[in-house]
Amino acid sequence: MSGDCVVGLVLSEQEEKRFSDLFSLTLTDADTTGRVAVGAKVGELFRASQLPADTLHQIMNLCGAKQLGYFGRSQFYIALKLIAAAQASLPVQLESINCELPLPQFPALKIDNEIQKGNLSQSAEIHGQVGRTISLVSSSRGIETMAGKVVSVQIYENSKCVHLLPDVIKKKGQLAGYVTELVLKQWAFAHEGSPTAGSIVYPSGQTHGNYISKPSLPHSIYTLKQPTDPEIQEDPSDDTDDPWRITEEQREYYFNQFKTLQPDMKSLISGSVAKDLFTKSKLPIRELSHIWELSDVDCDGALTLFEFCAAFHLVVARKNGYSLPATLPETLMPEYLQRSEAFPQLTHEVVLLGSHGNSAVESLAGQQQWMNWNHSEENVIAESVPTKLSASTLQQPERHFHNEKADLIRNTNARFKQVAAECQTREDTFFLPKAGCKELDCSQKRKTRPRSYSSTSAEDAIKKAEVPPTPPPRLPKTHSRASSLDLNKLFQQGNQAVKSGLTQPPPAVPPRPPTVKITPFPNKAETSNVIAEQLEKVQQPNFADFSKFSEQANKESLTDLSSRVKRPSNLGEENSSPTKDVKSRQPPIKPLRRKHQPESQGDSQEQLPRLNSTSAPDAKPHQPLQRMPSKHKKAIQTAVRKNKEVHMILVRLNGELQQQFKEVRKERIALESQLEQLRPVSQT
Amino acid sequence: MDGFESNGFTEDRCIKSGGDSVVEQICSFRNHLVKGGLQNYPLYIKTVPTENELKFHYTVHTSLDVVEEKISAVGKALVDQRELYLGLLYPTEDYKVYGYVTNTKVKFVIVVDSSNIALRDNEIRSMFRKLHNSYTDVMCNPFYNPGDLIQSKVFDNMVSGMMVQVC
Repeated sequence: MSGDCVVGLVLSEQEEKRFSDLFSLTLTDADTTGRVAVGAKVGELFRASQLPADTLHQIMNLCGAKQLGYFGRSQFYIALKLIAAAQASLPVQLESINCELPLPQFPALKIDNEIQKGNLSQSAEIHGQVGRTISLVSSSRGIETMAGKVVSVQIYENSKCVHLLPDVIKKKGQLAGYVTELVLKQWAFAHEGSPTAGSIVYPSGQTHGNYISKPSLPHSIYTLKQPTDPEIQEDPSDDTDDPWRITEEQREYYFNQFKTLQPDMKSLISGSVAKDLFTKSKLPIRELSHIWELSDVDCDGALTLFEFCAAFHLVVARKNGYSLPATLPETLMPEYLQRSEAFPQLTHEVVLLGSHGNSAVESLAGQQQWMNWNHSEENVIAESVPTKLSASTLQQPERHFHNEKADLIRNTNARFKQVAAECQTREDTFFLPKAGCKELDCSQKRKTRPRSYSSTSAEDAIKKAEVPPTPPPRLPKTHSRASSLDLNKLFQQGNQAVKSGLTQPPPAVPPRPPTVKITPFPNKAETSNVIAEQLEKVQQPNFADFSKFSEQANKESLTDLSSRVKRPSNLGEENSSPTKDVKSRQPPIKPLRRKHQPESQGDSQEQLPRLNSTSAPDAKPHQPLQRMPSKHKKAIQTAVRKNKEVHMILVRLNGELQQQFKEVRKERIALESQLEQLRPVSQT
Repeated sequence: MDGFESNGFTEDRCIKSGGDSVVEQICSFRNHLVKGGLQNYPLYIKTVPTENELKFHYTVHTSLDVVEEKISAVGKALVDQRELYLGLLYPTEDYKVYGYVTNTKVKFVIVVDSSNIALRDNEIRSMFRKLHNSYTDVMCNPFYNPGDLIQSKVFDNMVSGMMVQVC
């Protein structure tokens, strides 16, 4: 592999090693030729370099991968060189790769992360050594007849390399990492005397997220470990199963939540109930809808206990920032949850194996081979590996370790696959640990510790979910405007206050007499019309009669008025009042009065003469006339008073009508002007 | 629901599902303005890329009219699932429009290019059945309010699958 020639590219030894190492990472295990890198992994690696996307595209174009359609070794190396150039702030061009460049850094890549965090020195030497190691390993994957001895010796001698192994392995999957870690720790523990062993600070970040359940560890090793989770924020998409695993505490919480909603644990929570609950989490409806789709596996519009757990878990995860998967992760499937409830802890790890399945196994296998070789201690392997393998197989590695590494490789490969396959089919524990209970305890402890983080975060998320229930009612009741504080108070005091306030303005409005009196207007109009008619009627005969009765008008008017007054009729009063008004003001109406008077006079005269027909015609009219004045004075006075009152009323009425008339005129003018405005428009 | 104007999916493939109408196929867009009273607005549209998107929009409109007509014509047996085969609407255009109405008056419309080897009736029926099933699944989701745009990925995927099969 180091013998592969890279056309046209001169690499230093370090670079070559490093590049080989990286190239090997991008290979799939199925690819035995080691020639073509997997595009996705290449992309991932390049993105880990934290260069901007355009730069990466440029690099990809330049290195020729696009032309070829795949990433061969040379293309890959060129690309790496270009990345290094870009990171060194050199222009991304083929010329720059001829310069002396530092190694490309991939900060986002887990390997480099750990290396940079560096428990250990980050010298190129180590890189190179690691690279060499791994490249040797990678090639050996394909070529199983590798001279394992050489490799193992190399590795064995270089104890430093060993510590990097967990980092390397970690990239391939936690499972590998765990095992590696275990193995290495065992080894380190066993080699307490070695100078480097004491300085081991294992990258604890192998626990991706809080949801990882660790495989069982020997108790002794456990104490060495400093479990911290600095890398919880790692991109979950790398190991998508991790955040989707429900821990015990979470499970209990979800169960309790289910109980509060639906006491019968075996029946369903209806869609609306669930909707209310999940809406409280303040996630957008679109996401909640998606979560529902994922979790309601049987599409019945209701959630079983396990579907509910899955849904709740997804909500919690989403609140914690994880993006929702497109399909329901296996660990959230109701069947899985059901099974795991039956076998709470063991199935975790078992399925950890199973779920990681082929990819992890295969990738692990490659890493594990040399890892296994590393340990001269049989016990180490015996104790650590058995968490995954049966006891019988342990002997094999030990034997092979000394003899044929190739066989070991094959065996571990095969065994692992077997284990994985078995795990998938069987649920009962696969642990045949020598430490037995201890390991279980360890696993529990292991789980509790990381879970403690998870529970806090889950609890926080859940609290977040729980807290919202109270606020929502707040908003609708408050006013959106600050200035409405007074209104708020008003509203609080009650509608009456508001009403009273509101009732105040209207009174200011009403000085629109026409609106208020519009209804009476017609009546008054009618009355006024009536009056007018009466006036008119009266006027006409007046002119006719005026001449006749002008002389007797004065005297007889009084009597007439009195007689008129005596006759209770509105008509008479109305007639008399206008007549009175008229008389006091307008000359033309005077005749009315006189007309009435003459009429009444005529009547009275007719009556009087009739009454007095028997008596002498001259003397009798005088007598009644003399009597009349005395009687009628009082009557006249009361009539006068009444007429005055009526007069006042009519004056007021007149005023109001005048105002109405003015306003109507104004409106008319306004309408006319509008019409005029519109006319030219319509015509043009 | 009044004045509802929805916007199509940006992807080229569109099945139009309307408010009841689903037009699948080669139409692309979907902009359906609801006027007061006539609540046929699209809930979902998916089309396969083609040039004449607007044409399919018209097609959809006319097909909806025909669907309405057929619904009102058949006074009895409204509950039965029926299928509406419209045949060639425009002799020049050479495509076929199939319709389907559920008992909740949700209309599905599939527009198929006749240049494809004519799909058999059964196939069309099965497509509609699948659509209907997916639609009911969407409805089961409590977060889906009837009348919303259908944004379910499951539905989307199902429709895409069907489109691929058709084309």
